Amino acid sequence: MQAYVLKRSLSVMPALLGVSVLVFLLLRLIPGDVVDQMLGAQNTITEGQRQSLRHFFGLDQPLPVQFWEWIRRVFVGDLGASFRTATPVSQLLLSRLPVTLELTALSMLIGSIIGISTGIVAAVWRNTPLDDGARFVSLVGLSIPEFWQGTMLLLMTSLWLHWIPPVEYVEPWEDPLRNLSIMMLPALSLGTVLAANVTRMTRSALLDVLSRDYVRTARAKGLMERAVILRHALKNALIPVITVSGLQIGYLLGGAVIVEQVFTLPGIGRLLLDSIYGRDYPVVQGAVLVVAFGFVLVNLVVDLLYAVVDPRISYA
Amino acid sequence: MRDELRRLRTNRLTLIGTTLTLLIMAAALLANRIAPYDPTALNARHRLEAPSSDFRFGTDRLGRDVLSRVVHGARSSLGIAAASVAVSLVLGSLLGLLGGYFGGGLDLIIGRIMDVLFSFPALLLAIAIAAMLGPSVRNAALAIAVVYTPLFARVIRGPVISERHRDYVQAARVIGASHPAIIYRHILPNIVSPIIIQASAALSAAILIEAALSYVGLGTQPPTPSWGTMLSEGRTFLETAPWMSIFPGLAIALTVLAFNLLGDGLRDAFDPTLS
Repeated sequence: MQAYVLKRSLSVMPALLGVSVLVFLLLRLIPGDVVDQMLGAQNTITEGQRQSLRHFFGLDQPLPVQFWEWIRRVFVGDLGASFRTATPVSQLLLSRLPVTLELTALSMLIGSIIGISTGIVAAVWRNTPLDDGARFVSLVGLSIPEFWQGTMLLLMTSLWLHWIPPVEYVEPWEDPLRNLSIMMLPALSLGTVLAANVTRMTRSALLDVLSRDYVRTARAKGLMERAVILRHALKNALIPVITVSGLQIGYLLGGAVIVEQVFTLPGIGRLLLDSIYGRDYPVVQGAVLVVAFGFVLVNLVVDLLYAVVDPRISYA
Repeated sequence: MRDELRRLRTNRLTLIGTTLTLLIMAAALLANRIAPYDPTALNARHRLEAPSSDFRFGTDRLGRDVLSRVVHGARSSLGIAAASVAVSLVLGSLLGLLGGYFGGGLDLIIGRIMDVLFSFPALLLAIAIAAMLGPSVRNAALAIAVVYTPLFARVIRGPVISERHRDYVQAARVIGASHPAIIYRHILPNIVSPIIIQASAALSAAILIEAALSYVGLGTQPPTPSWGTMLSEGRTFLETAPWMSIFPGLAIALTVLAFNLLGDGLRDAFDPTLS
């Protein structure tokens, strides 16, 4: 088991290195370097002054040297400083990360609860109008952009319930109820799209398990249908569902970028978009790097958990 | 192939998906004739008007007809999605074919590069690339193409490897057929179905990503109508002119649903074991 964990962990190293190279290059491939971006077309600054600034930032060094310098700093948590505010990027990211993580976790919770229960209903009542309805609704759910769903949720609650969520973000430990009322609609718009995916997976996994011999045995020995499904079938069917839902975290992180924009939540996504508009490249670079690293690590953890949950998987 | 087409024709949901897809494509192609007004014509007297018999989907903040903009929006949304999927299909298939067929170091290098691209959430990668390249239609299409290339490469590599070891490929090689001839004449026809299935799934995802990119200002630029930019413009007027947000969103959902239905049908038809 330990050897497997080690081997699997080492296998993500090339991907992490590649991600770093790509993020590093993305910034340097664009026309005009950091100095041009910072100074724009200010005529008062001479070419000599620009060159000394380039030297200050180490931009006159060869690319591999620059990369080594950059990655060395990344390893000690130094992602540079914002062009606009001079705040360290790592500090900015740390202050925004909890919001995005809370949004992701809540969406995951909503998506799993709705998705798994609908999937069970669809599989147990296979080929009935209930199943058709669940399948169609989940297909519709997959077709709706989450940011539009967010907008429509806002519209519906304001029209019908005469309620709009508070604009000012409050941390959960300050005022849990107020925090929840802010996060509910964004989490719902991200979570329902996830639910559509989970419904489809749960249905097909459960259908597959329900045709197995051990389920027939359980039925033959006179167990109630409820016990057969909940105790015997569901346990096995949920293993792939949990894994694939875990892999959806990456999708949620991507979706969060836009949903945070719709609901003006101060998370990583909104920081990223604000920095893109403000051409604040160190922050863009840092945010992309952190999310991509998070995505790779979550995939690794899910993969390892899969092996822990399902004893049939060999660690060879 | 005849069996597949029969299965496609007999599935009701697939038929609905196909019909919807054809209708939306027709609307995009014939936008100039179908749209009642010029989608960019300003009309100060009819600003923010609710849907009526004159303006069926209402008007926006500059008095432009929302229906005409939704119809013309189909053109840019489908155009960008189709172009980016076409590029990623050709590029991804080529990489998958080369890697799978020749194996060895080439396969390893291609595989590692694709792994890196897979390490980003799709939307985030598209946003990052589009942001770095600068906001424009071409760059948005390019960003989406980069995101979907690894998907095609991976889907195609597997079947190519299994075909490569078949007797008929070995036989072709023994009688002296060249590598390009074997790939083109023998292997390619056998991997068409995963390509078709993947393409329809990628199209619906590309429409969603294009909408998201335009929504945050990194795709189609105003005043060119696109569903994403229309939604973004509608945000400020959500309470006073909700039609500005409702109709473009419905158009996206309907189009993506059509492609999803078609994609599900294609998958069931070409790979009945999955249904």
